[in-house]
Amino acid sequence: MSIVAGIDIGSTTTKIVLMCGNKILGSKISSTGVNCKKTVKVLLYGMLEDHDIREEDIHYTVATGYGRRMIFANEVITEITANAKAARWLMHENVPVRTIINIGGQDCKVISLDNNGIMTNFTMNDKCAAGTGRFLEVMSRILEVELDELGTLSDNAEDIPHINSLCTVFGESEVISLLSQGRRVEDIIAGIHKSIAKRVGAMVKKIGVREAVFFDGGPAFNKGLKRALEQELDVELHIPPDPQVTTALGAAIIASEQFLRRAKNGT
Amino acid sequence: MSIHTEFLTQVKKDCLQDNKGCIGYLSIQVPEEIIIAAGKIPFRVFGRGRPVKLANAYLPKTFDPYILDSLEGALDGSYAFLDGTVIANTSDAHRRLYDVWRLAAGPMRTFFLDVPKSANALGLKAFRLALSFFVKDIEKTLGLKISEEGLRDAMRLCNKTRFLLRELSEARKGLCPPFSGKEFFEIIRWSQTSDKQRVNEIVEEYCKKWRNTGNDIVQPKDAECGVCGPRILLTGSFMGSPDLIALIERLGAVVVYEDLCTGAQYFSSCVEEDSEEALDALARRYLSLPQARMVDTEARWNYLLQMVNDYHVDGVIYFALKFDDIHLFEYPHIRNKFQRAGYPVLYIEAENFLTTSGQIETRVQAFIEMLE
Repeated sequence: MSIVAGIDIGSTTTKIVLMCGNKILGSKISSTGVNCKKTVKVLLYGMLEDHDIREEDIHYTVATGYGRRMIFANEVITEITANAKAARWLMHENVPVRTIINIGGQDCKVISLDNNGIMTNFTMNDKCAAGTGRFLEVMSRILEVELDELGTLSDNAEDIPHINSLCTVFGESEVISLLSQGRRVEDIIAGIHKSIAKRVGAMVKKIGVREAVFFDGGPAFNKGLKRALEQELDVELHIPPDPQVTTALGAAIIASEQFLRRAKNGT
Repeated sequence: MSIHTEFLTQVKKDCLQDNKGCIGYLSIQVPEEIIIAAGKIPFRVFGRGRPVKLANAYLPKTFDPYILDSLEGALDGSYAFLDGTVIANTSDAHRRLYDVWRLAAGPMRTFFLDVPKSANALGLKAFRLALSFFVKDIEKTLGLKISEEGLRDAMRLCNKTRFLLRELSEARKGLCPPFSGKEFFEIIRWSQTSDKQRVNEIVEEYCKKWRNTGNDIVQPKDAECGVCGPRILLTGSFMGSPDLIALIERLGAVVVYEDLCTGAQYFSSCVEEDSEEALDALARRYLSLPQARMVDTEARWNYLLQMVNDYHVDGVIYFALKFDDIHLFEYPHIRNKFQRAGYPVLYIEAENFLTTSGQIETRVQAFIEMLE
């Protein structure tokens, strides 16, 4: 079996996708924690057991994400290239993706693709966690709701407040003052989604919106955020079935292509 | 040891020479010729490349980090060896720095040089006048007379440095550049902080040997530093350390041209030696440097376009220091121009030293992956 692995070591979660040829064998997600090497090992061994395969059956590994240089891999690529690869692979038969929005644990990326699906430009927020998964995590803690409840709760918003602080720390203070004013939690959540959408929207507009727009990363599970982004950008967002593992999938696709290329060249 | 390695070792060794009789300067609009004609060695202040502590007591944190870093050096005694410092009015931050430097530098003399933003007739006239004030100021401080002949000798000396550095740089136009961008940056930094006579002797010796071997000596060292990856033109703010260049090259690209004041702008043009009046020639040369602060943005764009063509550039990295308003304002204009001309552009905003390098690394690596 010519099995390959794509490993995405993100700031919050680590994802592994195993592929055999053009077929996805499976994927697994775990919190990255402080020791990403150990996390990858546990995750990978779990997958080997689940699929009844041996470690030596994995012929090629591509690592991506912030911890990409921390583990052994045949190749190391950025999450931006991996994400672009996966979006093209997942959507090309249905919708031609031209823009990708990825919201991760500590950053946010917008990638532009040309008519052939090749990456031509990208932008990435840096230095702070504003408008990222971490922002949502902090806010859910203050509001005492589960992260995966945010989307459903925001459906019931009635009077959405403006949250102007993009900084996670200042945003936290703003949310606390809204709570002390007696504002409804559902309304505040919708306000948070709107503020993230504004920030991400500004990044998207910087490199230009071209449809179809693909939205992935953990926060893509949040339907309230999706709705806020669609309103901000005035476009429909396409979300893959498992938006959290797209980048790992992209790494696995690259691993598969490289493995085939090398097998063909006899290297 | 190859001639190339021998040269780089010599440069490294020469950097360790004691700097005596130096006058510091912060902007490349300060004519080094005047300092040399006054019997001093021009020493470019590069900052220390570390976070500042003392400078925050004088200037706000929202200031050009190069200015803060240089001031820190004046406050902590790093530049105590200088006999004086010239601060040119090239931005509001430099102007404020002049006020504080006078307080911070103790007995060290601080000179001020006004630099117009336009190279038109009026700008040239104003700059010529500012240069004559600067000459008088330096003469009075040092108790000497700068002669026309002394200025002309200094012009010839500096032109020779420029000519030699240009020769080295042009060797990078080939498919496999002889120097990595990091090595070239170190050479330019050395040339801006050392005795020009020594610089010229060492570079000339290297160039002579290189010419004699029919340029064979400058073979690619791709196994060593991957100099055959995508070719990058680096432009933007002042850059005091080669850390970003080293990062770009570690990730597989090669910086073939640095349109920086600590790079190719330094030797981009020569002073007309046969001009009737030395100060006129200096005013013309220094006011025509292709810098972002100048009003004539088309002249700068045409120069950049010429360089991306000449050096067969694949992509452009625009580096801006935080709070460096001149470059932060220039960036969108230059980006649009490059993108319309078909060159991908990556924007990096950072301090005078590399921080959050994980995120910067991801962006640079993704940019290189896009170019490959």
